[in-house]
Amino acid sequence: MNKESIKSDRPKGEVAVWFSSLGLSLSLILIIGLVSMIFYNGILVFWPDQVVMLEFQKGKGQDVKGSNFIAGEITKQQSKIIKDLNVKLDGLAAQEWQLHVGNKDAYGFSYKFFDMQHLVKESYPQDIILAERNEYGSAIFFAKYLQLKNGDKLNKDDPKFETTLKELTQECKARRKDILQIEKFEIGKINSKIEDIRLEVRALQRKGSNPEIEAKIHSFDAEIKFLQKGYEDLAAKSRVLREKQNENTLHAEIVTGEPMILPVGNIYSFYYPNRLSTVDKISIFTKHFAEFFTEDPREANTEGGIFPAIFGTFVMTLLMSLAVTPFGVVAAIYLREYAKQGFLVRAVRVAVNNLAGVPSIVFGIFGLGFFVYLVGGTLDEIFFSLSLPTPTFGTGGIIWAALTLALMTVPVVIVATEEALSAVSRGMREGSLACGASKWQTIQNIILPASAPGILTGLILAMARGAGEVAPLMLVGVVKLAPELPIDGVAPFVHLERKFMHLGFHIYDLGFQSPDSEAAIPMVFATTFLLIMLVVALNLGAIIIRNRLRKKYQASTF
Amino acid sequence: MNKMTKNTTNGTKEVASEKPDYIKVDNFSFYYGSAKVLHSLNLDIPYKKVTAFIGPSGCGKSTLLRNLNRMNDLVDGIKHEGDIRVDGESIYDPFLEVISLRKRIGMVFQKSNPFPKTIYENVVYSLRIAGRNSKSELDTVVEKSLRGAALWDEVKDRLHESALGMSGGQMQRLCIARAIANKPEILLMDEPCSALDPIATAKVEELIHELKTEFTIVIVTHNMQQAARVSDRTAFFYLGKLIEYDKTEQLFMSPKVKQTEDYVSGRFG
Amino acid sequence: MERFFHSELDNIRTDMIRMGSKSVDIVRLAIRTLIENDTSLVGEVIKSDDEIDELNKTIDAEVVRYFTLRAPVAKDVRLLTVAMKCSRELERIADEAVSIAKRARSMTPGSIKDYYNIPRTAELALLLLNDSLDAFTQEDIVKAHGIPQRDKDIDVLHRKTYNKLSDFILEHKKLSSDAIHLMFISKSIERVGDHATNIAEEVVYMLSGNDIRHTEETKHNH
Repeated sequence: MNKESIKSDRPKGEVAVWFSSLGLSLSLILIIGLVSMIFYNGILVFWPDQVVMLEFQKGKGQDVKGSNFIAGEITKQQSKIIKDLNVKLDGLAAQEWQLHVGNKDAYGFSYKFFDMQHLVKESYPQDIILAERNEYGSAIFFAKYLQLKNGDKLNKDDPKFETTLKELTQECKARRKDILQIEKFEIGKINSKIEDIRLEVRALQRKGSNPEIEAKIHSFDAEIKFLQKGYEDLAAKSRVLREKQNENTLHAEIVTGEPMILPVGNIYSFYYPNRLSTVDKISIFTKHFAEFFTEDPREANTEGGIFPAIFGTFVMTLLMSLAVTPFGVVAAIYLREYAKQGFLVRAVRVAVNNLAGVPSIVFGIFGLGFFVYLVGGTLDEIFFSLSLPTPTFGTGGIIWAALTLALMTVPVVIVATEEALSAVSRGMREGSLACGASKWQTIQNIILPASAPGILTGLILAMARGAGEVAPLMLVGVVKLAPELPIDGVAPFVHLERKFMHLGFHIYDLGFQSPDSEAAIPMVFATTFLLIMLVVALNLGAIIIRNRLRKKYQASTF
Repeated sequence: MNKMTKNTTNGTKEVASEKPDYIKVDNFSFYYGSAKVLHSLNLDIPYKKVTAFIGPSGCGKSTLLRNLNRMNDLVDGIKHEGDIRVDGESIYDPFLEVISLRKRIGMVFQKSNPFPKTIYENVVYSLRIAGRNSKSELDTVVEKSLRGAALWDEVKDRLHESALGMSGGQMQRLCIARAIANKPEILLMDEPCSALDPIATAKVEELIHELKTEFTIVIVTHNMQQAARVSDRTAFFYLGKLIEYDKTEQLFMSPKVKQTEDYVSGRFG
Repeated sequence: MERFFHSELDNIRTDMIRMGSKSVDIVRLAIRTLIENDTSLVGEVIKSDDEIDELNKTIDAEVVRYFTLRAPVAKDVRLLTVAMKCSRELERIADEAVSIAKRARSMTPGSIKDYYNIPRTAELALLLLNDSLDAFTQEDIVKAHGIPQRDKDIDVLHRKTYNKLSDFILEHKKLSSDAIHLMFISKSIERVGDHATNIAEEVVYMLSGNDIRHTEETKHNH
């Protein structure tokens, strides 16, 4: 055999291997790139950076509040765009740095670019403090002394300074919790009771007036008065606590030389960013990370955690799955098992597939019109007519959002379930029928269990789509800040009519609706990362269940 | 082999069946859509005997078998003429519930099809769907059926494990146990050994031989040796027609029709 | 694994053994007819021959049925072919016995006092037949191997009887008819030995799969 014949005998079309692998590698690169970018940026938010102090030449346009000093965390270093072509700069001088300078109350901004051309000195002062505050974001300053409520002054060089400050912030933290407990839950409870009584009074008033009703209304009035007294007591208590928060103050000076007085109750936590060892950094990182998961958002969502959004997304996805599974599965069972296969069934199938291609906002509009206004409105008229015109179900809520998304994802479930049903072997069906089982007994005992893995696959896809969807939610119940969670400790515990927060919407809100978009960017990445993680976690959970089922029901014959 | 079966197979002597026309196929024709697949068949299947259907693929033997318990009802566009009577009763009687017919006629399929359940649940499936759930009754049935299917000793210690972990031959015998659990009168077998190795096949054949003391068995097989070994009567089908139906020995040793002769001697086609 | 139809092989084997013992009996009976001059035994011999013929047919039918329905292989095939062939040999032996008995009946009683080696030959032939059948029943290949050699003794004895009877005819022309009967009887007994040898050879085949017919080991010196 000569070389020529070997060449010509080479199988045709082997290039297709390379070509198809190219497609795979391309999409892999894109996915890995996207995820790692989000991961890197998202995770970096929680890492405590060093704080740099910069000194510029005076009067070169870099002054902040008349001072040529500035301090902050470096968030971006980039070469600046030089419009004048005659100017040739290189090295540090050609760069501009973006700093997170904090102290928004003092500066009026918390992020700013600085031209490094006029840099005089770059230093990392050891005793600069970064404090996270209740308001105005974080503060970066040099401490001077701690003014205690008993009149004592604790100088910053005092060895007890740091520990005392720490103790005091802890104390305030505990007190803050108490205030929250009083203001949010106890007062909230009283308010809802008062609201209930008012509704009853209104119902009585509508009935007309006779002495009996008058007496009842009167007794209700007394009750309201009693409750209002309780409310005032609580309000006074919280006022006292709030005042206590401001008893101790930290006197400090920011780098521009301006003095700053911080009530300790305003300080969430503080650390010396330039003194941190790696271990300290890791512990602060973990703390930030945990806060992100468990705490409510602050400062127009740019600070604090995103727990309500996580919880809202989770509950909404769960409700959606609960709604879409039986609906889709039952529909698929009829289509595949009972309906006579013919033109009509084929038409329905095409329609279902087309439904999957309808833009999601259309579902949102449908949900708003049908669920919120029609169904919700009717419910309100029938069951909650007393509180009208304030709508209960007649406005966006988590149940409507879940149902809207269920409607949107039902084609996915139907198609997947149909596939799974048709994959159940004919032999198994006939085996059951030959045992004298009816069609429904066969479906129930044999076909559904055997197709459960496939059905779950459909549900996974539906969940992944539903959890990441934003547009329709904006119409049917998502809000940027929900005061209450859809599931809480107040009876009846599950509040399906409540508005909720959602990670996807949170990302949109942070990125595009935030008053301080620079401040929101890290949160956007972190939230995106979390949303992806949540979808991955939901999927993984479903995949694990599916694999377990598949192992159980795998119909291997030999 | 035990003494009891020795007598029944001894030589050419055959015990006459008490009901020679237990299943009566009476001028039966069958259509898939417009295609006529069975042509006016007449066939008497005797009680408590093994009757084998042989013939090349597409000859209609499986179709006839699947009509005996109306399994073909699942197919769209079917039509039949003539009648099939089991013990004098038409299976197409409009007052007869097809489910109750299938309870009287067990079926074993070509490919073993155990349900993805435990061995125990597989066997009692037909009882469970009939609403019989008494533990003691089910336990008795499981043991009896598995013993009947010569499987008890192999699986008695793992009744509550998945049936899908069994070997191919065990699965097929489990399917037989499942088919006999509800005490049917007739057992239909559609090429029950076509996917089994010779040893598993031998075990199933032994089982068929023992089961015929209790059930009327109809078996479709592609394996002529198998038909010769296990059956008392053999029917040869070709192109939807019954070519010859006789005692097995007669049909294999001296068939009356040339087509049968050619088929059984491998000279067909 | 023992299959349900394997019992049919046992039936065939049992029939063979029954047929064998009947054949031994019939030969013995025929020799008694001659030696004891008891012509009343002839009827019994003929009846026994009929039974043996019937058994021959039964065995043939059973073997054919087994071949058709059970697809036998290996040692089952050998058993079946051997059963078929041996039953034929046994049927022939029975025929020889009938011939002996009939010739004995045709002879004039007491005409020839000396039967020469015939009783001895008959004794040896019966022993040979018995041993062949034992070899079959007990599946004793050593015993079966020994038999062709022993048949040569019978042949030698028969030849001697033949020569002596030839001389006898030359001397006693009047008794030549009875002497010729005796010659044929001797020949028949020798034939019984030959059939017994054939059975032994078949038994060797059945047990080992080796065909020892017409080899140096078994060549007959006719």
